[in-house]
Amino acid sequence: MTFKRLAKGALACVVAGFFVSALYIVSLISENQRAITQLSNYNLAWISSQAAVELVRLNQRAAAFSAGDPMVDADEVQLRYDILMNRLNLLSAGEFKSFVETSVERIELVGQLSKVLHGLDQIMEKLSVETAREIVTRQLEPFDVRLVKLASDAYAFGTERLASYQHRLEALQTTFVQVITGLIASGLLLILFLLLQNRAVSRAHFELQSLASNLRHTAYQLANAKEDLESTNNELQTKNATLTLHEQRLQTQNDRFDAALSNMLHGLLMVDAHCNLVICNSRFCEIVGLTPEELSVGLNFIELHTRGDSRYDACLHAFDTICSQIKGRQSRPGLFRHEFPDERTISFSCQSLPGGGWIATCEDITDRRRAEARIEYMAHHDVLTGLPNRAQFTERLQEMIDDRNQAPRAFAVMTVDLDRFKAVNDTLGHHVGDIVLQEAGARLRRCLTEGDLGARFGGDEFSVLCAGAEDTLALAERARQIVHIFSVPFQVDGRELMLGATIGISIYPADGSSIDQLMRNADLALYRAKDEARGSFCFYEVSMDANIQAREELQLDLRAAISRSELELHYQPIVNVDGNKLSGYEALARWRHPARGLVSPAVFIPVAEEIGEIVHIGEWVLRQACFDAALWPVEATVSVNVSPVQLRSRNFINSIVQSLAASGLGAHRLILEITESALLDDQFDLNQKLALIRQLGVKIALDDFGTGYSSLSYLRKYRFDKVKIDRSFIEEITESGDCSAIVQLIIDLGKILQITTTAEGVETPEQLEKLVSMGCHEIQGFLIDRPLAMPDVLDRMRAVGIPMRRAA
Amino acid sequence: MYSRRQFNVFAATGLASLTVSTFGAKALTAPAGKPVLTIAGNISESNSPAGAAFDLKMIEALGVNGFETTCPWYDGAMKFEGPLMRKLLETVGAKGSVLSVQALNDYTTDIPMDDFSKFDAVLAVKRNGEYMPVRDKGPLFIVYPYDSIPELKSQTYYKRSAWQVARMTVK
Repeated sequence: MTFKRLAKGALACVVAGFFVSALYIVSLISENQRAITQLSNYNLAWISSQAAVELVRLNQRAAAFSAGDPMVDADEVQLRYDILMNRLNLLSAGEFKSFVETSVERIELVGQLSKVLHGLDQIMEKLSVETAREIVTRQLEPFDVRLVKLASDAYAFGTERLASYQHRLEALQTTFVQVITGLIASGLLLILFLLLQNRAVSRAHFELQSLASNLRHTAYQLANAKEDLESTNNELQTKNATLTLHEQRLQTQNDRFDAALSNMLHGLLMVDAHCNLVICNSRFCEIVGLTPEELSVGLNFIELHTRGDSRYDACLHAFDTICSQIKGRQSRPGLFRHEFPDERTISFSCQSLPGGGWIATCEDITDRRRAEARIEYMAHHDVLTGLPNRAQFTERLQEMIDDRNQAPRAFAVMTVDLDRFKAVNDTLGHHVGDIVLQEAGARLRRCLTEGDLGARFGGDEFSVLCAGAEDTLALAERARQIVHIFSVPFQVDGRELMLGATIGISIYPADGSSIDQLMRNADLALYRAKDEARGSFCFYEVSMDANIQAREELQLDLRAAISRSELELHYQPIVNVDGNKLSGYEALARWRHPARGLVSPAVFIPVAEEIGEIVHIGEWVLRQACFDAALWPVEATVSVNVSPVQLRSRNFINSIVQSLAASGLGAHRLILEITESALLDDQFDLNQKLALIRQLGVKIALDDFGTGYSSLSYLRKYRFDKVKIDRSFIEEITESGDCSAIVQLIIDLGKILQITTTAEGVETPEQLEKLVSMGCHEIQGFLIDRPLAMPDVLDRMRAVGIPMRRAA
Repeated sequence: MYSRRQFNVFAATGLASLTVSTFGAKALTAPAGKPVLTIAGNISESNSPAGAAFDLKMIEALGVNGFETTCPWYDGAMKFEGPLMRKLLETVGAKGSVLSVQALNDYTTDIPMDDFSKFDAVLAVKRNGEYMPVRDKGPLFIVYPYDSIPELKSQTYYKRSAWQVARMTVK
């Protein structure tokens, strides 16, 4: 290192030496040049010698001129004078001046010469032979020698200067040689250094090569190591990935577990052997009314007891309950319910754990319990009235029968039926029916005494189980009390409904010893009571069995009546008062039974309504009436009664259309008579239905007007073609002023509303006269004619010569 | 401005030389005034038995060129004016390598003809705007532009700068 630094320093010195030498050489050469220039400087000796020569020449010419030489004229002398003057200028100016100024003698010489020559100036202008001689002898000759002397001095000065310049040149030369030598030496030294450097560099190069090979080897090893490292790294990464995957799975599992726990419908609580909380879920917290923070892991329940924090009451209650259950069951799993002080019902499922402690799940089943209770209640009660239902009734009845078998004691079964409920329900709708039933249930409940059981079986059927029945008089009194309570009008939606109750009574053990017998006999007694008079009660009698049998036979016969063609139609004429002209006939159904004979509609129509046969019968009547009317030779109308049930039937309009189409009867000849009770049923489409019927061309008559729930608003609400005034008004029209007034009112109303009025049941000429005077349009009744069978109708038509039908 | 004038002068002299060559060998007219310069030797144009004689007017008619320069004979820079030497030599149809110049005091110096093509040496007739008398190196003085080219500032060219020129011989 030291050598290298030394070598570097030396090299720098050599280079610097070179630089300095070169600079020095440049300056030397420059100086040399200057020296040489000065050496070759203008020759002073030459100038001064020429001055001498030119002075001699002037003298010579002036002498020649003064001697009268024809070759020399004044101009020639003048020229030579001018030339000398020029020389004088040279001597007193430029470089020569500096030479002159080196000596006082020379200054004096030049000064004198100048003075003399300038003094000759005027003479020269007017040069004569004399003046020329004078010039030569007096003025100029003395300078001859002195000018030569000046030339000699100049020569000597020049030689001296030359010598000194030469000496300087030699010295410069020597220095130059020395510097060059130094340069060469420096160059050699430099070469030497370079060689040395080169060797050092070669050595360094060799070292570098070996180093490079070492490096390559090392690099190779490093690469191997790197590969190993990479493979190790890869393995690690794989392991890491596996671990991450495991962790993720574990996390997922945890998340799922958490999700499962928090989404469980059941509360979960796990406690270790030392009563420390191991885990619980949010549902459990909800059940015991705590936050998850308040139920942190590690919470000790024993310690909680001593804390006395009221927030934990529910939680500790649950804990204690489970602990006591666990203690009783040892390792068996347990399922139990517990009522909390706050009336909640919690279901617990607990299981002790092998290492001590236990796990329990719990569920708030309060709602379920309530639902169960409700179901239980509903199974034994009628929902509408809150009364026990048939199941509970028969259960109780069975119990009582069983009890009485042990120690026989009389009790009674009362079957209570609401009168006219069916009509209310059919006409005012189920809503009103339900309200009536609830009210009925409430009334029945008020009639019960201890040991009684009042029940609703469905529809308008109620039953009462009366505990004490030894005293039939007392029993009858109780029945009468019930009938009385039900006879009070029912107030529904501002309406006052008259219903009433009919009761059938059977007594254990006299009237039966089984449920069926007791119930059936009570029913039979009920039917009897209904037949006799509504709003009454009746005790079972053995004879009732026969009656009920007859009724059931009637029902069976009626069902078969249509298929057996036992029904027939009779027609009662309706006459127009104006001109005493036939207006039409009202079709009236008759049941001609082979054994029973002719059965009154008042008998079989209620039965038909009861057994649901009324719709079929109604359709048959409509069809038959249309068919018959089509055969009439006159253009008379035919009126057909329509029951409320029939009117409500979906198929009703269809059956009208079909009947008209099948018979070919013109729609304008058909009149449908509907009763006021049909209008009570405020069905939403009734008005629409009636409008549709009227659109067909069929007319609508309001039958039995003035009875039942008469309301003048019907006349406004529904569009009628005809109003039939009930026979009860006509009966008393001549005697009762009230009736007369009502009839007059109806007739007047009809006129105003442009509705035809028809009086029914006109039997006397007085009645007719009265009605005619009142302005009634049409008359119907025995006074005109009784209802006639079809053949009689046809005979009557021909006999009275009523206008024949055009087609016939 | 000066350089443009110089150019015009050149153009004029160029035209003049053209005219001369057109009018034949004896175009050079005889001097009207006192001759101040005679050129002899190898020349094609002449107007006297001695050669080509010039009065001052003829010399000036060759065109006036001028420059300022320092020289060893004066203190400070001087302005010299006169025709270019090569123009003068062209005019006489000089053909040779050396021009031998002789002064009134019989000083003689030989100048290589190359000088006049290489340098713009003039035959000065005026110094600082004045005609030069004999006593001040007149009437004709060969001057080189010493300041413009360093090479000229040497004894060689100082020696060739002859004053009081009276005769020239082309060799």
